[in-house]
Amino acid sequence: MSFSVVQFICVIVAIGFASTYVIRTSFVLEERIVFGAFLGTVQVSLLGFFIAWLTMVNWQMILITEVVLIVAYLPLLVRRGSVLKADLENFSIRIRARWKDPSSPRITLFLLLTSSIVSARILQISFEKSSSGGVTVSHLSVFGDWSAHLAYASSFAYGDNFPPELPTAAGESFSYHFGVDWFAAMFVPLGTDVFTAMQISTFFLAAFFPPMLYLGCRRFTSNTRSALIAVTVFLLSGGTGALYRFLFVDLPAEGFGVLGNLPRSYAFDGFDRNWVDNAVTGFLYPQRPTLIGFSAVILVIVFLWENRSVKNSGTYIFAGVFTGLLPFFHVFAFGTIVLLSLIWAAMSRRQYWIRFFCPALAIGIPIVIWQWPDRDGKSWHFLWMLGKSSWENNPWDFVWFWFLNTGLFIPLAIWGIARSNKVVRNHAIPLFSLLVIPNIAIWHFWPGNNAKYVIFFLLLASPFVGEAIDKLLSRGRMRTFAAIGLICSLTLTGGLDIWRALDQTTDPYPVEYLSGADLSVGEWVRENTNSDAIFASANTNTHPVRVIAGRSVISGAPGRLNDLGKDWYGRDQDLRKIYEMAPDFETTLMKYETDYVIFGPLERQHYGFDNPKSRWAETDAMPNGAKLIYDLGGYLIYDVREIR
Amino acid sequence: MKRPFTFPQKVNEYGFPLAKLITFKRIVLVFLLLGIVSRLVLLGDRPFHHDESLDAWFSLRFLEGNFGGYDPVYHGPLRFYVTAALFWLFGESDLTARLLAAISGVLIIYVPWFWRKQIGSVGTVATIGLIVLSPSMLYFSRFGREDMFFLLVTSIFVILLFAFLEYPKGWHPSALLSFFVVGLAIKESVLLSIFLFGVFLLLLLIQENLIISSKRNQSHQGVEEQEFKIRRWTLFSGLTSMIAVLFWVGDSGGNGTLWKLALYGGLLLALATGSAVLAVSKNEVFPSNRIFRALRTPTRVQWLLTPLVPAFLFIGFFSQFFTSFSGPNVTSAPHGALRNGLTAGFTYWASQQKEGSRGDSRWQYYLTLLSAYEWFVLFFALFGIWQVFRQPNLFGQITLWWAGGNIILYSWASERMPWLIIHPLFPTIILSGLGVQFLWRRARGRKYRDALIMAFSICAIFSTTQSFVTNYSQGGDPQELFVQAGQATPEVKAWSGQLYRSDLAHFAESGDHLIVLIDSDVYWPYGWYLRDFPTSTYAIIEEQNIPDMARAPDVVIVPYWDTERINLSMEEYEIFPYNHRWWWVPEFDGGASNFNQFPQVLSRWGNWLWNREPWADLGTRSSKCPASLTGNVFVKRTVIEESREYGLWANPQETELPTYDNGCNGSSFLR
Repeated sequence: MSFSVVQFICVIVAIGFASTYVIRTSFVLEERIVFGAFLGTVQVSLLGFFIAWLTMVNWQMILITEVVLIVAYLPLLVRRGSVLKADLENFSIRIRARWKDPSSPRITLFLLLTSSIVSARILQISFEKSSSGGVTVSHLSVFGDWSAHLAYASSFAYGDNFPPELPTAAGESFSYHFGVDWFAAMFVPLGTDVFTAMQISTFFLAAFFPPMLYLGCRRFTSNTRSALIAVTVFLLSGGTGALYRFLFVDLPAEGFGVLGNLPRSYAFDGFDRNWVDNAVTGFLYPQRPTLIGFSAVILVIVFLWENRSVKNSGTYIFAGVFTGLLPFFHVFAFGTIVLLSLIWAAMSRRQYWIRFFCPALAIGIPIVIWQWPDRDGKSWHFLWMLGKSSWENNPWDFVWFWFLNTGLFIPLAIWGIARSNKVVRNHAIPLFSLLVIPNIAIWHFWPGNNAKYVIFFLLLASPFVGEAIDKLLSRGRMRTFAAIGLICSLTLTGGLDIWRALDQTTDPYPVEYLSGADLSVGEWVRENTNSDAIFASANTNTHPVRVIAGRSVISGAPGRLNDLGKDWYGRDQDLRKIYEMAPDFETTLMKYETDYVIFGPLERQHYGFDNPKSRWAETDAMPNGAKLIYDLGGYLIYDVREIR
Repeated sequence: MKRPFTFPQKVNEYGFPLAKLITFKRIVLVFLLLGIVSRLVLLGDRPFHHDESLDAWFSLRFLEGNFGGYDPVYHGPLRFYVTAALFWLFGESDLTARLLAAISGVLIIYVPWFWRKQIGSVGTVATIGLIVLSPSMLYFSRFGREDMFFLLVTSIFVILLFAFLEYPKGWHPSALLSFFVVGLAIKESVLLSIFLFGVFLLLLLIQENLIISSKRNQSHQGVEEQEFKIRRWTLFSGLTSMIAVLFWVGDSGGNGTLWKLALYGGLLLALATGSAVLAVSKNEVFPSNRIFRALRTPTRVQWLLTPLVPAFLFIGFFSQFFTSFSGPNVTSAPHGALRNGLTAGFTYWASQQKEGSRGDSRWQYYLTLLSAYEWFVLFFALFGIWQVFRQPNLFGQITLWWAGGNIILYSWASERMPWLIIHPLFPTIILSGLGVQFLWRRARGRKYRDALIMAFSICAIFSTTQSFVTNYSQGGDPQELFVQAGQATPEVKAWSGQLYRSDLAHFAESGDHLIVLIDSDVYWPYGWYLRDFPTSTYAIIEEQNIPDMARAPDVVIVPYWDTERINLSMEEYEIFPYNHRWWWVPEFDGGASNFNQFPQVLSRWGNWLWNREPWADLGTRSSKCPASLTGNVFVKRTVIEESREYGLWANPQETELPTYDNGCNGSSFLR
């Protein structure tokens, strides 16, 4: 990690830290730092995005962004200097307090350290050098979802993707919350490659998430222990899959040595029985927008909660503006906040909510409209997965589905909410709407995406589960045993999956993701073609043209295009026309304004060519004007601009 | 909490606008931040030294489960474990291989904080500042050997020793023993430390007994003066006796060394017993001195438990955390893991004393290096020594003993390497902190203090500039006296990178990896740099094992003396002469043969100090200029062509090398 990267991260935290002084809510120093990490990320990303749009993605753009925000916040810090000084003095007193002292910042710092270690390990093995000089990956999250995220980040870093278009479907609007990928791209001009940029940006946000969750939970729990339990049960969530698959199958078969090479994921079984994955390996790691989304939801709820008695207008407006910006980073987080706050507003029927909703909706809705998919993907159903995959539509499977996917989390949450005070209870009951929605509707093309609502329920209900378990722990021997059993049952599955993610040699990983030849061709394309060039390439999971060069392609992986409501089938057929040289292939090239056609190992494998050179280029295309501009390492690139 | 220092108030006396913001803690915090940045920035850039690459490689072996166990030739295993943990966490890189040294270098900045009451506020700030800015401390905080880690552990040991003698607690003996074990698991130099502090404790016992004996029938003032006198003489006679004994021991080596040192210890023990008898006879009761008081503090249970933690640590460290109790089965470590841990280091060290000098052979080596790089520290340390002798107390005595004893011991011990300089330097920096505090107290008028601050600032700026040059802009260049013979040139790093790039092109084109052969004489640090290179095509050329060249390897790397042995079809290859390692070992007196040449010697040193210009010794033009071990890289022409096609050829010969004026221009390296 270079010095410029470290200073960039420090500036982000400093800017976010300073911005917590905009509102009058009193936070302690460590809260300002932890909250600041996310507030700073949002602000730096957004301002940087617009500056990059006006100029280009380079280090000067980063510098301008930093300077503008520092200059903007410096007067505020000077003006609130006395508060800052008091915060520092308060911190220096509290840091000496014992661990058990509720005001001690030690648990927050401990969580930050622990999450930094776990995140550092998981992410440092995410990409490694392969023997061919290429790149290997060590986890499904990177092999799968990160392929798309890499393409998005590269399109900004190397492809000058302004105004943003979907790089995996040339010419389509960017109907995806790409904020966190843009944030990763901002590290590239600071001297990192795109792989390192993804690792660093993820590490930064992931390391700060557990302390953020803890600080949020502290508001709704009676002591630090329950808040810690809440953090643990959420981060190690994943249902009860391991109770059988690990304790009764894998462990007896292989003994404790199985821990050195866990044979499978216990929270995820390829969307058969398990649909709610572990929060870390199923959401924070692969689904990068949640890195900001989870924290943002906690942050806004903390702002609103702390403001419930003082009702300061500035805080509502600040929280509203922050919420309004969220669709850029995580549209589900935006939806969750708006849904919950609408219910809370309806319950209280107070005018001050307008100060929150006006900016939130005024900023947020245009962004949502911009991202709205072209195709209508919504449908209605009853009881989510029942009747789908291997689940039967009967009451037993209903109970079993939720037990397998969430354990006793939901009953514990109900108990925890029921025994909390009236104000908390009234605010917590609307959380169950996040369980109702996935059981009645699919709003996002694929039923698996409904887990994104459930995970928000797990996130926001975790303090109540922590509180419930904590009460059991402090009520005598048998109940203590029960509480320990509950903690184990709620955390074993996720714990094992995270343990597995720490191991880089768990079968089938590491696998080669890009070969040395892939890297070479990607770098050549990056250096030798226009940043807005459009390529015809195989619509496989990954491709160097997308990942290394950041160029737009006719089609990325069909599954991901389907997720975004794009016409993946039409594009797939068009690619086949091009590669098979159907009679009107020139028209198809023209349709997407294709500049280059690439033939490499992936194309050969995908379209079944033995010798693409003789079949495609030499017969027809080259005599018609296609130029062979690259012929190395099994890759051929044709410049087809003259054909179209 | 009350601030026990007067520093902020004194700075505030100057009344400059931001004076109120300057407090003791904030200055320390700024230095700490500066220390973190200075130790971590560009940490992986300097090419690896031979020893650094070995350390990193052994750490990697441990991580992969292939570590054979403790072998004193490569020193203790603990830093392999810690570095392996850093590799596990942050990945294997040049930076992480040096991270343990850097972290130790940062933590050691904090050590004077524990002695702030003894050093004084101004002295503590000066000490911390000097540690942060010192060229040597910075250089070896960025050098992937175990020395900075060992120094940190030694410092903690001294913190505990001082605390045990001054404010004894029941857990102190266990902690002291534990840190001894930790030290043992890092480096055999712990034997020197044990000798040093063992002798100190015996001298302290004698001193305390003499003080008790002399207390009778004297006024308070008389007692104090008498105490100071005894302390001064104990310290002085201790240091001089150590010099005399080490002269006597010489390089006898093996059992001879051990017997003579044991005799010295026995003599001191006898003197301690005699002094105790004297004290009893004068006071008619058993003397209650500092050491006995400390030893009486732990309860019986605590004494019983004292060896448990150290024993657990010892077994854990030397058995690779209870996983392997067999040793590596080599000549230097022939026994089981635990017996090797107990005896192999000791035996190896003793045998090395007889083998003759390794590294620089001159006894004045460390004194010269200290004068060249740490003149600023030495200057203030003189005042610190004066202060210790003027008003000797336990802290001053320990510090002076630690600094002086280390200079004597390391100048006597047969291995003289640049990285060992930090062991005498660190306590010397603390002495200089005492010196600064002394001067600050003596300079009572504002004018004197202004002058002191001014002088300190000018020296600090110059020293910092030197530190910057030594560590960043020219770090690793041979004109630096820290650059010892094992330091690889930037060309080695460039060739390693080129091999990876050429292999990428070759594999993409043919599906096969390059066949690379490296002569064992120039194997390091390639062994580390090429750790990810496909090993099946990667062999070592040794005298007894000249590989069959009929396989026509793609790349062959040999030192110049083995070039003739390589029987290749030369028309297929392009030959690239290159510099493998480099060094500079000048005559410290510039090669002067008479006193008349003194101005020329002075001018050479001045020139080196000012702009790091090496010199050719007087009368022997360029014979002692920076020089290099040269070799040749044979690369198949087809490989070069392939790499060029892929745009992956960057001729490592084009790496920038230092150039010199005067007598050393152009004659030192291959270009």
